[in-house]
Amino acid sequence: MKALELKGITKQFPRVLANDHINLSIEKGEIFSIVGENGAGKSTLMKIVYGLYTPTSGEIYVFGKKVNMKSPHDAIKLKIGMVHQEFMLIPRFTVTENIVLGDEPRKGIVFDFKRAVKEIREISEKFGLKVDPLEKVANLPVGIQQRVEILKILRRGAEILIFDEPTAVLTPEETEDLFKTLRALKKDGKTILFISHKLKEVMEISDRIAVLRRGKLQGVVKKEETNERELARMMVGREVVLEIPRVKVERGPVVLSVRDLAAKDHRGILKLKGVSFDVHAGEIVAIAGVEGNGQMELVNSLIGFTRPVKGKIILNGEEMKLITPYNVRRKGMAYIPEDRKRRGLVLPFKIRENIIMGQHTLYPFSKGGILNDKVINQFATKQVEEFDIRPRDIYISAGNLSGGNQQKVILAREMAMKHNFLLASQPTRGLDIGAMEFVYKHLIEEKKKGIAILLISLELSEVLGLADRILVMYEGEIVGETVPEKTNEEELGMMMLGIKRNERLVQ
Amino acid sequence: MNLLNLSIAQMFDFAAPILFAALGGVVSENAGVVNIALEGIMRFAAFFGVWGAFIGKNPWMGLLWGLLIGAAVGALHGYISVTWAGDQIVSGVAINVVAMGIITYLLEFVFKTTGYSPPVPYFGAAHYRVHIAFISKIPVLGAFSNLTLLVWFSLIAVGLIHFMLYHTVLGLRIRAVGENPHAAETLGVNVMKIKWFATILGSVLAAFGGISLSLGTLSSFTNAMPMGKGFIGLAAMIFGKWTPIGALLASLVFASAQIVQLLLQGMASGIAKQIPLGFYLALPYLLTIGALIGVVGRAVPPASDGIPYKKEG
Amino acid sequence: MMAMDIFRRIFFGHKEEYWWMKILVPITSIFVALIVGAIFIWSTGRSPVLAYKYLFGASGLVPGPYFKQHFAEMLLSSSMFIATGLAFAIAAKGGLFSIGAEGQFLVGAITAAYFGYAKPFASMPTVLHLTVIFAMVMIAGGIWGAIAGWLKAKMGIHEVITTIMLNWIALYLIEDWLVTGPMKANVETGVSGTPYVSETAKLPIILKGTRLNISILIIIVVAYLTWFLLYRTTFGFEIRAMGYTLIYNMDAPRAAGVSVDARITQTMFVSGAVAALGGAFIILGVLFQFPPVFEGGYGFDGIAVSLIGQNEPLGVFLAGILIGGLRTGATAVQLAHIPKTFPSIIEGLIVAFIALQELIRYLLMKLFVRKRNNTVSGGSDEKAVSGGVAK
Repeated sequence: MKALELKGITKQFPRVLANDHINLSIEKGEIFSIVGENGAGKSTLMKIVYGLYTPTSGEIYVFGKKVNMKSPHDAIKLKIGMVHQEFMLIPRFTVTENIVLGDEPRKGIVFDFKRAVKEIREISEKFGLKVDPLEKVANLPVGIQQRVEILKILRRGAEILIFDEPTAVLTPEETEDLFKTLRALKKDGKTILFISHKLKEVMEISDRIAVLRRGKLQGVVKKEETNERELARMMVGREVVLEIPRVKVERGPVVLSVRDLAAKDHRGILKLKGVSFDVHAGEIVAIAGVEGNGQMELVNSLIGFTRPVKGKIILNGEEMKLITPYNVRRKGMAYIPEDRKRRGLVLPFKIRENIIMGQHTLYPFSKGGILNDKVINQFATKQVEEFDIRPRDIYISAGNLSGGNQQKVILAREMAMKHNFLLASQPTRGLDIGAMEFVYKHLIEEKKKGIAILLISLELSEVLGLADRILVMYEGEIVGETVPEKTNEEELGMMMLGIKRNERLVQ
Repeated sequence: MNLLNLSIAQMFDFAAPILFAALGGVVSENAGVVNIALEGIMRFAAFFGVWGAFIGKNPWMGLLWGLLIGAAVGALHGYISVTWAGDQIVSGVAINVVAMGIITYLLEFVFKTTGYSPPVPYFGAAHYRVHIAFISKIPVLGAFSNLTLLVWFSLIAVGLIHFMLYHTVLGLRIRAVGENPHAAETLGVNVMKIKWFATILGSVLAAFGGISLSLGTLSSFTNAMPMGKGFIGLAAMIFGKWTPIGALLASLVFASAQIVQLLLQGMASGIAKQIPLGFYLALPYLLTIGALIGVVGRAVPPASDGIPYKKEG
Repeated sequence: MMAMDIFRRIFFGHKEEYWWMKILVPITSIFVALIVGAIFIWSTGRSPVLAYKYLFGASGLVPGPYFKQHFAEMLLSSSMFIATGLAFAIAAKGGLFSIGAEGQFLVGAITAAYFGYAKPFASMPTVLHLTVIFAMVMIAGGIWGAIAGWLKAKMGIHEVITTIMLNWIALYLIEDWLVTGPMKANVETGVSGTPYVSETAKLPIILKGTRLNISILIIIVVAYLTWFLLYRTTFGFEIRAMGYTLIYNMDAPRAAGVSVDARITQTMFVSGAVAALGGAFIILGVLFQFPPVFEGGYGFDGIAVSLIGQNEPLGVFLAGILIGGLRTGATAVQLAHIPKTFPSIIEGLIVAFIALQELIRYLLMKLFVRKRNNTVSGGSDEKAVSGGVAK
């Protein structure tokens, strides 16, 4: 029996054709994956299935019946549930409140909190997903938050469960846990739609896989009849193997030295609990770890967004007493932020304005406080050419660029500044393979030029591919140090969960 | 009544408009809608309340008119901010600017004066007050022996709003919408409807505030009304951390500043007489700034407060 | 079309998509507001045609009877609206909602009055005297603005409330202390309020037979300087970056090295200084003293002026002229039996429609742009940032 059938689904946005006449049919009780690069249209398609978007044209059939969904309310009634890529949770509310919102147990107009808690305990038992009903979601680790999301949709009787990039924020262990849950749900007769761009995982969990490329369906294959290479080819349209060339560079003197650094997060909780390490010229030190283990606080301390509670930061031999982004940049640091929309760019600013931000007070871009448009335009045009930013128009607002091009603007800007230390915080987040290759290429160029690079990354393949040395962070401390040659994803995964600890390498 | 009781009663009197405005802000901002227009709405309600009382020859008519206009202006703000996801602050400022001009015009048009309206039947009249004779001699409690209906309602409203926000399903949804409207949307909550409701309710509460200014202890409309009380109400909301009970306490604090001003002015003796009038009059506003400095860092608004909600796709 | 291109290049520096939107929105708003105003008049039983004839005839905006007088009065009041309008615009560009022009205006006014009559200055030659007065006015207004800026930068307190509180504080401290106390004119002179400023403090008249003085010239220069500051200096670059990233807590400029906190305070200083100029204009060109009862409102109108002018210096200038014209025509409108507060209602309506920008843009877009492939979801680039982008 077909759980879900999509006929000719098309979604047109003002500038983009996100879904182009997509036809899919998904059987009940199967785990069906949809893969594609960033921007291929997977999320859009799922949002249509969940009623968040209305298709420009096309039909949807749920368990054989034609449906017309105007909102998630309709989707929920049809027993469709979705666990979003960015969790749809309310941090201030408790687990219970988050789960029952929209379908609250009530006594008249009064919210029956006690009964809600009881219900949560019951379904938590039933599906084997342990949660504390009374805990505030803000205090939960990401893996548990995801459980809350899953319970949310199970409680409403979801038979078709959509998971949008669920493993993006999980450790290898947590991913295994999730897969266990998915298999159990499948046994229970539930249909699962699994959206991902992580081919290895997709190959592990799926029954069948559909590939989207630039809004069009490339094909649907059975797991047994394909492999990662094949899927990648379908996704990108050419032979793609993301090989990061191993480049050996002679390591130079210490550029950045961090000693016993500790810092709090924006809520005042001590997240970074005393780390020490060095970064030499011409080396890439990668910090691996699950999001939320102190990396952000480390980055914020280095860039000057947070004042550390103790410890020292020594850049180019000089101890930085009071760090502001301004003085740390003048002392030789460049920064690729993890969130290009928030920290990297002023989206309404044109490329030419974004590309000089940070250097705008320096000669020749300005003199005596007055900007020199001619020089700025020349520089911008040159950079746009060199970094292959499309479209080649320095007057386009950064907000109108694709993610990859936005990141290129940031790269162009940062690389042009005088620096010998580069802090790259999740530089390939949200980028497609082509853009990722571009970033890697430039990072390696930087390394060859003798720049000291500190890379914060959540992608183990990236860490293993780029790093000269790997430091693993867990709960605010460095729990292990190794080199790519001597380790693998499994071991790193275990360190990231605090299960294994390594001795620090002798320098 | 002795001085203590009189002062306390006056404090509740002064607090009522601020409290209503603050409660209006609490309701609306907990749903994520910033309503700077509370000041303008109070102005509208204060005038229309007097106008209604004048025409209907009793304050209840005034109350009705005031509430209706409050809801109408609130609906305008809702239309701009919620339906069209416009800039909430610009919308609020626009309403305040219009309120300044239109009410001055109407004052002249209806009552042919530029200063203040003639006196009208009001809730402060003896037969409209709530008399609780037996406590009138008791210190502190005695302050409650002769308050107006509006003041009593302001206190009751605190309880009602608190109950609504924290114990009902509607309240849960309101707060959810104010924190993460997208999450609420994905669960089938009608975000637009909730925001509309909160905006209108908030405006109606502010309207009560305006009415309590002109039909409470006073019995007419002055062209300077509400004299910043709407904004002080917003400050009280912040000071009270966006909760109804907090709003009550904050409003009492601000109201007591005015009491202190009157008491000090009344005192015949030495230093108090030397301080120029200007300082007394400025005191409540200085205090407001002081209070805001005091809650720095500890008052966190609802997460999506002020952010226009645009439905995707 | 070359002219259009040049116009575009001068005022926007470059090609910008849908730049004409920025002009159409306020024009449409004004038009619709006038229509609504007409309906309003008609509903009270008077003649809209007559009302508008008198209003615009006496506004100084269009030729009419006594044009020279009206024109002069119009420019005179416009310069004050432009001053407070620029003040709001400067703050707004930096992401700050300053409602403080009213208070800063008063601070400027009282400062101008004081340095206008105070003994050591009163005997200075005009040029020196005026220079000193304007310098002190801008410093005083700047400080009043900077207070709110500092509170925002260091303590995160939203400037809407602090600036409003400061307005009231300024009002009471000035009217009920300074003017009735230390700055009170000697009773014997028969003057109530502060003493009159000396002759050398009065702004020189530039149009014989009218009250029109150099204030309009000063404000034109200030408007140009505002544009220059915003678009040609690093300061302006930085605050515009801050203004655009307001909802992101100005993270991007911060990470790039902009000292956001300092800029916030500085922006409020500049904003306050410009607003204060308006106060100086009214004292040194119209009232020549600070009276016991001061009719305010210029500050709040400045907000409307700036919003109508889309927070751009040129727009603020033009909007200031319009509002100045409406005010000047206000007394005449009474001939049609409409109270003189009517123009301010029109003003409020215009602003209300500006707030409905999205609606107006949407309607205009439907009207002008063919659908499908060459559309963008909104007008200027800011709007194109939000809205549907495929994931």
